[in-house]
Amino acid sequence: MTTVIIYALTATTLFSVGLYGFAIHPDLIRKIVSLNIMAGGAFLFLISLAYHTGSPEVDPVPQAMVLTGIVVTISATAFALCLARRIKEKTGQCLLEHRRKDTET
Amino acid sequence: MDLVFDLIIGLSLAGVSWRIVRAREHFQAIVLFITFGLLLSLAWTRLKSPDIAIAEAAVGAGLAGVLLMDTLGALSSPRERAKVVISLKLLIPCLFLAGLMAYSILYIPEDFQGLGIVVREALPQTHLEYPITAVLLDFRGYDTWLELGVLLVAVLGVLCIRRTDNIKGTMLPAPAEPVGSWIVKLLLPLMVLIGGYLLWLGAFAPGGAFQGGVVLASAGVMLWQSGHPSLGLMPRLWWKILLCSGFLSFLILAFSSLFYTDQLLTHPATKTWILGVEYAATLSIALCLISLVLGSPARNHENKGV
Repeated sequence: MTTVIIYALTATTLFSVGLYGFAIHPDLIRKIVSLNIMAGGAFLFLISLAYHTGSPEVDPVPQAMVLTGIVVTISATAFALCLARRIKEKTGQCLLEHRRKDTET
Repeated sequence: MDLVFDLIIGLSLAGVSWRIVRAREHFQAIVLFITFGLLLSLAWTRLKSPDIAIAEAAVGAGLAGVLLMDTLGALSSPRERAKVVISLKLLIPCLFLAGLMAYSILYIPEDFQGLGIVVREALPQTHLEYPITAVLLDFRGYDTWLELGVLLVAVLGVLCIRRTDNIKGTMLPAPAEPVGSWIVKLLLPLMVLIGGYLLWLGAFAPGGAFQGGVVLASAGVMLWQSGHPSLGLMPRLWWKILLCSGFLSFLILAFSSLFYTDQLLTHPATKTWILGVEYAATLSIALCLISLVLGSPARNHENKGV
C-alpha cells in the first residue's frame, strides 16, 4: 500500500510540474519536454493503480494501455518537433508569442 | 529497505522534473529529460512492469533524447539561455491541482480488483501464455490497431511537413563524426538479437511486439547516427510496404474475420494469426520509429534539393 501511495504522489507531482512547465515556457521545445513529463506522470499514476489491485500480479490492461501510450507519445513528440522546425524556418524563432494580446489592447 | 528505495526514486523523479522546468539552458533540460526517462524506467521495474521499463528506456530516454537533441541542434545554439522566472500566478493553481489529485489518492478503494482476474480466466482461449501480449493483440486489438495507425499518420505528417514523398530521401545525411564502425559491428548484431528474442519471448514472458520493435528501432537509429550506408540500401518499395505492414495486417485480420463471424477482429483459435500480426507489427513499429527520427532532420543543404 505504501509503495502505491509513494508512486501515486510522485505521479501527481510530475503531472503538475509538467503542467507548470508547459505554461511558463514560451519556447516550443521546452513546452514539448514539459508535455512529455506530464505524460510520464499520467502513465505512472495508471500503473500505480494497476499495482494496487488485490491480486498478486499487476493488472495487465493498464500496462498494455501504457505501452500503447508510450509509442503514441513518441509519435506525437516527433511530429510536434517537426512542426517546431517548420515554425522556426518560417518565422525565424521557435516561440509561442504571449504578448500579442497585450499589444493589441 | 524497498520503501527507502521507492522514496529515493520518487523524490528524485520529482526533483529532476522540477530541475527540467527550471533549467536555464535548453541543452541542460534535454539531458535532464533523458535522466528522467531512465529514472522512470527504474520506477516501472519497482512496480513490476518490466515490459514498460524496456519500452521506456528505449523510447522515453533513447529515441526521445535523440529527437530532442537533433531538433535543438537545428533550432538554436545549445547554450542559448531562456529566462526562467517563477510565476506565482501559475505556480499556485498547479500546486492546488497537485494537492487535489494527491487528496484523491486517499479515496482509492482497498479491495479494488481491476481486470487481472478476468484476463487470467480468458487467457487459455487466446493460446498465449502472457497476459499483456494477449491484451495487446487480442482483447484490446483495436487499441493496438489504431496505435499503429497513429504511428503511420505521424510518419506521413512528418513527410508532408518536409514536402517530400521520398522516404528514402530522409536517409541521406550521414553525420560528420561517425561513432566508429567497430561499435556498430559490436552492437548491431546484439541489438538485432535482443529485439528478435524479445519478440519471441512475448508469447509467454515479458516481451513482445512493442519492446522488440523499439529495440530494433534504436538499432536503426544507431546505424544512421554512425553514418552507416546500409539503411539506405533498402528498396523504397519495401520501405513503404513495411511501414504499412502492421496496420495492414490488422486490417486483413479484421476483414477476413467477417467471413466466418459477425464481429471484427475475432480470429480462429490458432496461434499463427496472432504471431503473424505480432511480427508485422514489430517490423512496422521499428520502421515507423526509424522514419520519424530520420524524417525530422530538415537541414539546410537538404532542403534546397527538395
